Amino acid sequence: MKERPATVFVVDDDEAVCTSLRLLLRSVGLPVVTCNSADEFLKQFDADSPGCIVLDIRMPGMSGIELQQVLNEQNSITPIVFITGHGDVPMAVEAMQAGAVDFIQKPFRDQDLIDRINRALEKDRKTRAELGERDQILERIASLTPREREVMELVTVGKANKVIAGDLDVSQRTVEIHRARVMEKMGARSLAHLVRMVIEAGREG
Amino acid sequence: MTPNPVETGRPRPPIACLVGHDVAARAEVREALDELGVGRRSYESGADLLADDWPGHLCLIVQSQLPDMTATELLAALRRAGRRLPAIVLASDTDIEAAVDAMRAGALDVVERPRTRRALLRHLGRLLGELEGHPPTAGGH
Repeated sequence: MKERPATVFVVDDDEAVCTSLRLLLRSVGLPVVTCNSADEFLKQFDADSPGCIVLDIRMPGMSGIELQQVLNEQNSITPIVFITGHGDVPMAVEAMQAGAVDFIQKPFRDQDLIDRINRALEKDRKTRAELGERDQILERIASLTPREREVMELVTVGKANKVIAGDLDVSQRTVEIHRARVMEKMGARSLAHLVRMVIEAGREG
Repeated sequence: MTPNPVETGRPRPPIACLVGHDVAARAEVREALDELGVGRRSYESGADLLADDWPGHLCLIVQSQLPDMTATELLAALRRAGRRLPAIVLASDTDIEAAVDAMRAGALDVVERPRTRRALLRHLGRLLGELEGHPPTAGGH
């Protein structure tokens, strides 16, 4: 596969923020695309392209959190760094629980944001490189117990822990434990990452 | 039901491990635990907890700033030691950075102080509900 340059997508309804981030990121040599709304972003985003997303939490129309949900449903593995003007702890926790790699409050120091973006890009690079290692994925799947494999199959078709608990006749906590072990053994950074590994493993070798 | 390593452990009373030296935070947690009838084991510092073993415990409740380390550092140390337990981190309602770090380190949730009681009751209630009929075993296997 051809190596494409990693792009930083900035999604913020505030044009001034978009402009200043565009200049900042270009000044450190990072390709950047800015969008003023979630819809505009979705029109041009390709989940298979490397990069990361710098996403404003509060936007008119689709909010940053809603966009994160849409991307999760599409099994996007592109890391999200949230930025917010008026964040609070529950909001940050919710974003992180939904798989964001970072959450930063405005005003932030330029260098701080650049460090976090670089961290997100590095993570994206690693995740994509690993997805290319099909043998390694198959090896990891082979290390799962039959029950863990069963849980993985149900998790990756989108079933909730509660539903899986019912299907397998075990407690929800047990499902959570198996699920955590699957994530760890598979080296999955997110549910979307796990789904992609399973798809990759299922491909004709 | 199919026997399963996770489900064949001996039943143990649910105990929450409290880590941290802040007296007010401890009192808030104690209140919530008493309400649910959950036992507790208290530790002043991260090192105290790491030096102990906790078969059968329900969860960890960790203050974000410990005398010897942060909650994030403690969670990382536990992970390195292969010790898994749901961890709830108590953070000040203004400390977003501590909350984000704790989530990145694998915390189940970050609960804002001083409004801890309701969130703790919700989490502990859920963890307890899931224990019923399916007691956890100690640690990994």
